[in-house]
This record gives sequence, C-alpha cells and structure tokens, in this order.
Amino acid sequence: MNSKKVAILAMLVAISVSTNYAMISFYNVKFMDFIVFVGGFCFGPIIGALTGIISWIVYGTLNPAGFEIRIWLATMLSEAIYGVVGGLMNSVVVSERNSVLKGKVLSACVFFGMLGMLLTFGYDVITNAVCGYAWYGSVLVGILVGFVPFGLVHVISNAFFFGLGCVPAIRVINNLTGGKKNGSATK
Amino acid sequence: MALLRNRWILVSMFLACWSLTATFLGGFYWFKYTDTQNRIGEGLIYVSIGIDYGNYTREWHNNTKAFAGETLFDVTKQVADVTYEVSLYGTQITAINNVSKHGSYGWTYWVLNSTNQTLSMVWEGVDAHRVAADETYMWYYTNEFNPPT
Repeated sequence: MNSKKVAILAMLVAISVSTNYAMISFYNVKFMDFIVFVGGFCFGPIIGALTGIISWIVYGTLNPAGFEIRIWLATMLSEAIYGVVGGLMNSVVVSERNSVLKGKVLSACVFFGMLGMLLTFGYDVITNAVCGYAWYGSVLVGILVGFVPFGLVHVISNAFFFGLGCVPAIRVINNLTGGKKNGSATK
Repeated sequence: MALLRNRWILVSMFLACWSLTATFLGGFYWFKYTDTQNRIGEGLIYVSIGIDYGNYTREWHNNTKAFAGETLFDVTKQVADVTYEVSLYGTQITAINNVSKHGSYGWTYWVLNSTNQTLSMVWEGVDAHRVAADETYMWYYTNEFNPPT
C-alpha cells in the first residue's frame, strides 16, 4: 500500500467517523456505510474493508451507546462488507472509457439504491443477531425487534444515500484523485 | 455496463428488497402479536376491589376490567388514587385516596375465599400478586391482622 492510498484511507476514515459523531442524534441514519462503499468502489475492496474496520475501531470504542465487545466485533467486520462489495462492484458497473456510469445514470442510481438496501439488510441481520444474543439471549428476537423501526430506518436511509449519492460521489472522487493514475481501482 | 443494461437484474433486486422488507415486517408483527398474547393470556377478566378505610366507610369497585396476568397493584391503580414506595422488598402502598399510612396504621390487602366467604390476607407483594377472573379483593386500613368485618 503506497503513501497516497494510506492518505486516502485516513481521509475516508476521518470523514466516516466524524460524520457518525455529527449525526449522533439521528439514530441509525449515518453516512458511514455510504462512505465505506464509495471508498471500496473507488479504491478497491481492501481500502474499502479497511475503512469500515478502522472506522468501527474508533467509533465502536468511543461509542455513546456503550461498548460491548461481541457487538463491536460484529459491527466492525460487517461494516467491511460494504467496502468489499463496493470494490467488487467497480468492475461490474463502471464503463470501459473511464467515464464512470456515463449514460446510465438513472439505472445506476436505482441499482446503487437497491444494492444499499440489500447490503444494509445483510449488515442489520448480522449485527442485530449478535445484539439479540448479547442482550436477550435470542438471535431471532434480536433480528425481529431490531428491524422495526430502527433497522427499517437504516435500510431506507441507506437506500436514499446510496441511490442519490453514489454516482456524484464516485465521479467527484475520480476527478479529484485522477482515477487509476493515483492508485484508484476505478477503470 | 452489462449489469445495468439488464433490466431483469434491477427488477430482481427490487423484488428481493420488497420480499425482505415484507418478511421482516411480517416477522416483527408476528413477534409482537405472540408477545402481547402471552402477556395478556386469556384476555379480559373482571375482578372486584373493595376499599375499607377503617372508619366504617367502605367503597366497592365491582367488575373492574383487568387483563389476565395483571397484578393487584395494576388493578388498584385503576380504581383509586394510589401513592406507593418502591424498595428492595418490592412495592409498598403508602396511601389510597389520600389516606396515608400513619404510625402503626397502614394498608393491608385481603382476598375473598369464595367457598367459605371469608377474607384471607394476601402474603405476597402487591406488585407480584396476579389477579384472577372473578376474584374479590379488599384493601383495609388497619393496625392489626384481623380481617375486615
């Protein structure tokens, strides 16, 4: 990993953690998942996964909601899924001429919105299952109780953030970092 | 770009999102339903609550509605203005309708034995004793352990 990638990783983690603290009063509405996904999409699955893991190392340790090591490990590892999937999606979605998502903006927005929903479902199932086991001694109760209303809020808000934010964010980041020239995984 | 050109991918993702949301919502409401059902048990029951102020004044609240599983404390709060203290030993009623415990006087609670029609003291915390259908309870302001007459 070169110095530019380290700098990018540090910036992504900083944005991710700071927005999480800034949005502390909006329970389960956070930009972190979106930032981790975009980070993975633009700079590869490793950078994406590391952004999620390091963000949760900080935010999970100094968490206003409290610290529970099993939940902390679950959220940390689950968050990495956004980054890894973001990195893998790059090769699937991006066009061949470095014109990211050109001509298919609407489809791309819908695609990212629904992908955000599905990823958030996966994240919530894993983390709520661990929360349920830790708090109630029941995985099923954790999954069901955690879904309404907070899981639903998380899923819907992420659908909006991913759907509306991914295309412009990816374009801006590629313009700023020069895409592939500066180690970006974007084609 | 092939992925985005294929509309069936988007349709499939939409259906997956929809089915997951519906499944989770259905699961949640099933859980809430069974939880509520377990909590209220058989459903609505009726109990009678008497309050004897120890000065030959007695009032009755017959056929008070309650849910099976509710405690005497819950039902009493429905029919009277109750003041209470919570301690390590449970909840203690300190006043009913502004008649407060004073010196050796305090509130005791009794249940009517429907077979021999006598009142027996309830030796259980007021917030632990669950009422049953058609039972009759008496709150009695006294300084002794003799049943109200």
